[in-house]
Amino acid sequence: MAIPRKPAPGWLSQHTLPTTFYAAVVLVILTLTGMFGNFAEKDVITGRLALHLVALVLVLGVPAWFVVRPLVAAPAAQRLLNGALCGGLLALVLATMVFIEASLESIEGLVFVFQNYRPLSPAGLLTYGFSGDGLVFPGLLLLILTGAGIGALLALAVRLPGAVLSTAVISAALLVVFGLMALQIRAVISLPEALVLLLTLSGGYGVARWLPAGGVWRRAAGGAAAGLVAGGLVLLLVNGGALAPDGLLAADAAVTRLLLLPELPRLMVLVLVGLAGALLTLAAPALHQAGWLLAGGLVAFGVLNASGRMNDVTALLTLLIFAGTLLLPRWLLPAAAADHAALPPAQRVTVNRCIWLGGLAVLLVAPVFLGQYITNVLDLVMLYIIMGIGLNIMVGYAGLLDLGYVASFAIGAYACALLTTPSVITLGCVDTATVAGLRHYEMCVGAIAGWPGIGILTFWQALPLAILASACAGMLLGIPVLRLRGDYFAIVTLGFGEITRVITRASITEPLLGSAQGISPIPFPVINLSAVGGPVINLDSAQTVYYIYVGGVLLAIFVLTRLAGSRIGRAWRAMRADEDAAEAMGVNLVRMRLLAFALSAAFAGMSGAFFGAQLRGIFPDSFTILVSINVLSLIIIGGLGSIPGVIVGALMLVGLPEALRELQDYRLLAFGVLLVVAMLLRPQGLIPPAPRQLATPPAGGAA
Amino acid sequence: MSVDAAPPVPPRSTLSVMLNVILNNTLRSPLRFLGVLFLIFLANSAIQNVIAGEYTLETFISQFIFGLSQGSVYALIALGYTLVYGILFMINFAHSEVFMAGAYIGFFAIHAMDESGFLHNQTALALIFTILVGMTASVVIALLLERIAYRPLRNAPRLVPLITAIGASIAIQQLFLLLFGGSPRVYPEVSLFILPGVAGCELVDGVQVCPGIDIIDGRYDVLLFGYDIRIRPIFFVVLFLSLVLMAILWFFVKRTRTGKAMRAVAEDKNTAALMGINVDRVIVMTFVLGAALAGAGAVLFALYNQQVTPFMGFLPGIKAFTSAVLGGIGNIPGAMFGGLFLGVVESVMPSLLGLPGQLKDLVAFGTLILFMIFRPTGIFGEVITKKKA
Repeated sequence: MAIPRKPAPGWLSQHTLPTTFYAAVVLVILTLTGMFGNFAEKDVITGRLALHLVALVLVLGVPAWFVVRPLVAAPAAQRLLNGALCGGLLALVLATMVFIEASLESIEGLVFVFQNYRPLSPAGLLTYGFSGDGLVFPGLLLLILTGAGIGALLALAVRLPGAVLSTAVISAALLVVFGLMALQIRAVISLPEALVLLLTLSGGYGVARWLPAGGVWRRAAGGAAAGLVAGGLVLLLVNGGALAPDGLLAADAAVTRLLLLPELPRLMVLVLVGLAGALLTLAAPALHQAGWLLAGGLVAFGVLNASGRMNDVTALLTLLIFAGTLLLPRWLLPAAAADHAALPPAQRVTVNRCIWLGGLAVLLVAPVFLGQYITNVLDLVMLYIIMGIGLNIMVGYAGLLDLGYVASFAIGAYACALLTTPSVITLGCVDTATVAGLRHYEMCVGAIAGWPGIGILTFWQALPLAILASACAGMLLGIPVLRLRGDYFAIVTLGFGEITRVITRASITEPLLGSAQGISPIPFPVINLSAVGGPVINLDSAQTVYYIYVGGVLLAIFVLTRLAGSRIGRAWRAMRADEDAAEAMGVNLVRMRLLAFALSAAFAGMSGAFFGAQLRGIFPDSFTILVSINVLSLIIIGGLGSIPGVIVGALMLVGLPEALRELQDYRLLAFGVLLVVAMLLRPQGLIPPAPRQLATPPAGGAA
Repeated sequence: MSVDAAPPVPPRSTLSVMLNVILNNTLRSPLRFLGVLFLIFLANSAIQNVIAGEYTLETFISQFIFGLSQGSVYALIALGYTLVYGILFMINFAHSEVFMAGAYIGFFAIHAMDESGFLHNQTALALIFTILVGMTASVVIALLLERIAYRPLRNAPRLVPLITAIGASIAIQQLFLLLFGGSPRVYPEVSLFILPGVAGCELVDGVQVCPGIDIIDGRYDVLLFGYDIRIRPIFFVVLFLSLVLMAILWFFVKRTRTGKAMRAVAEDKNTAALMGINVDRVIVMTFVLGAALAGAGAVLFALYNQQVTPFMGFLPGIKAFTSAVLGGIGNIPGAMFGGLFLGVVESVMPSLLGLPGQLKDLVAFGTLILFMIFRPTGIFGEVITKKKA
């Protein structure tokens, strides 16, 4: 036990100065990367708040928060002193840097070393516009006062209830994200649509919630009725011209999809939304909250859409909406939980199924609303979810640390690409004239003369072959490493990943794999229903490929959940816990390992095929070790062996960085730091799998 | 078992012993059989190549020398991996960034000395100083890594520190990219002459002058085995300095008190702690040693490769890790040998087998896989696996 050598000084907390020192070091480094200068060009709220001010508040506020949080029980004066001291000192460091920069003859030497540095003093970025001789000082003073002020404010805020604090922080964070992404999410949904959807949902919710003695069916009927009423209102508004481009509730026709539907489908959609609102009253609390957050998000999208870039008014509105949707469920949840608990078990299951179906429906219509950019990000997230589930078989279940997962991904992608484009595999030895302009025929001349080719396949024919190729390759790659344990296995698989990179890039494989030019164009998948009188659907955009990804994710989740409880899943877990004991219990290690290799490679191959079809071309640069690392990180961050963990991990590690493209290189820095911090705070992952119940307890027992 | 009871061993010819070994190795598993077939195929194509005159002794010698110096840098980095692995059983994935940091900060030191003219007045001193700066930078980064990313997780499941290591690696890489920019930095050209008045003689305007041998930037045509071979003395300098550093490390680990403590901790952490060894201090010491070697290796690497980028650490890093595994991870002589071996193999093999030079990474990892088939514990790896099993 450590005994403090000297009593802590009365007013100054012993954490204050060390924390401030570390924060100051980080602050100096970040400033030297030119963060403030680079962020100044990015507006969060047009003309009001640029990103560098957000960064300033963060770098001053976060350390101050860590200083005052342990003092939550201390008297206000002590908290104020420590908080203001920390914030003020940090601001002083920053002010010193600005001062030094302002007094330098030229910053050439500085920029030689720190290439990204942007001067701060001429524009008065951090000094309230004060710049130039003599004028810098008032600005610096203001900067220091700002720091102290932020610290003092946090010192006072630390006593606020947790709900208020978290709401404030999350709403502010969402506001910044929405502000940065305003241009990308502009096309998501129009304000009238958002309002109609929200009113219908909450109408259904309200009717069902306060219906006297409402059973399931009565509530459902109430919700549907609310939807009908909403539909009627919209009908009146549309017919009255209020929703026309120059009407009362003017909507941008380009993003108005719901309101331009024919009357009957529109009415049906609204009835369904009302029904969902009614069933929400009976749902489990988590779903319940998710429903409200979704509604709040929709309205916020609508508000943003109405104004283009974020301005003062929309910023305030967005902030209020987020705060509202975060706080509202706190009042409504206890009632919902009570409603949920009051249901008989059979009905509870039915209701939850309905809600899940509703969620699925939302998932399916999402790309219609979300627009190209966000759907693209979602596609990427789902790509990584499929791979994460596949890798989970290896790492989470079978306990084999695979660092070369990208190899299977690449094999799937290249196999599918080769089978669906003109190549030596599909066309064989064709006369040069007939394939003029295509690159891949030369190979035939020497190696396999007379090979007729198998003909160009469609995506759907190639997909199973690609998956099969990937699974076989995974098994083949697994053979040499079968007997290796632990880290030897890891480094050899890392080697496989690097070998993939070398092979796809090498000049000797160029006739087949295209070297650095890769293979393109790959034809997009087509769903041809003309044989049964249906349409021909081209899956040629992010929004349509989305459905392939949804299918892939659902398939992967289905396969994994079925496997997890099966004999194979249990054998894998036994193998992971102790190989020797598992073998003694009759687990065939070789067979089980090979099966794990094959299955996990099959999932990677599937996502590879999807990936190529989505990008319409594949290039060696897409298959770097970063893919392996990303997948591994996301399953460990999420919690090894857990499917919700994979989804959350993918959203965090793939979705978030993609969404924060505005932050450029800083997002990768943040990615690295996030990996470290997440592991330090939650070594078991964000959502670790629930401990498995090994045997069902005897009925009536445990009394 | 008594010695007297042993039956007299019938004399066996070397040939039969060799055959026995080969058969034993090939027939034990189909995998080994395939491996042997593949090796025979490789040997065949190499011999074909030599017979066809595609590959000459001249090429071999110059590639061998280059491979040795490249390999000695791998060995220096590999020692860092192997030292940490020997004690903590973890892959220090961020070690390649420790290497990169040494080269980067070394660049700023040597650049400053170049600007001030010190580099040209006192070249030897300046170079030593650069190496020291590189070592210091690497040590600082490694200490921070250990303190922030590894120490709090010492008792966590083994995958967790691996992820923090990967995260730290990405973060350091990106931080250097953001701080110092993405354009490559080029080490200044420097000449250091040794043996002036004795060697490197040439006729200038009819007068014999001997400026000495430029051991940093010089390129000399040397007559060796009847071939005129172009040699850069820097390769020998790198090899020599690396061997000296490795010798110092070997001495440190084997002969000093701290080295003894390190070996004790590697053997058994808990018992070592009971014996009064400060385990945390020993672990920190291990990181310091590994980082210092990597930093020195980085500056040497940069002296002949010249270009420094934030991403330069990755490839030497995984090659070095591969060599540590080849030699048997956790084993110090193994890492030294593995590094030199991998360096030579990847520089000699591609052209010996008639492959394009692009494929040298393929050769390096292919070697690793072949090795894993025949000796899954690495060349010197017996000791550690027994202990761990």
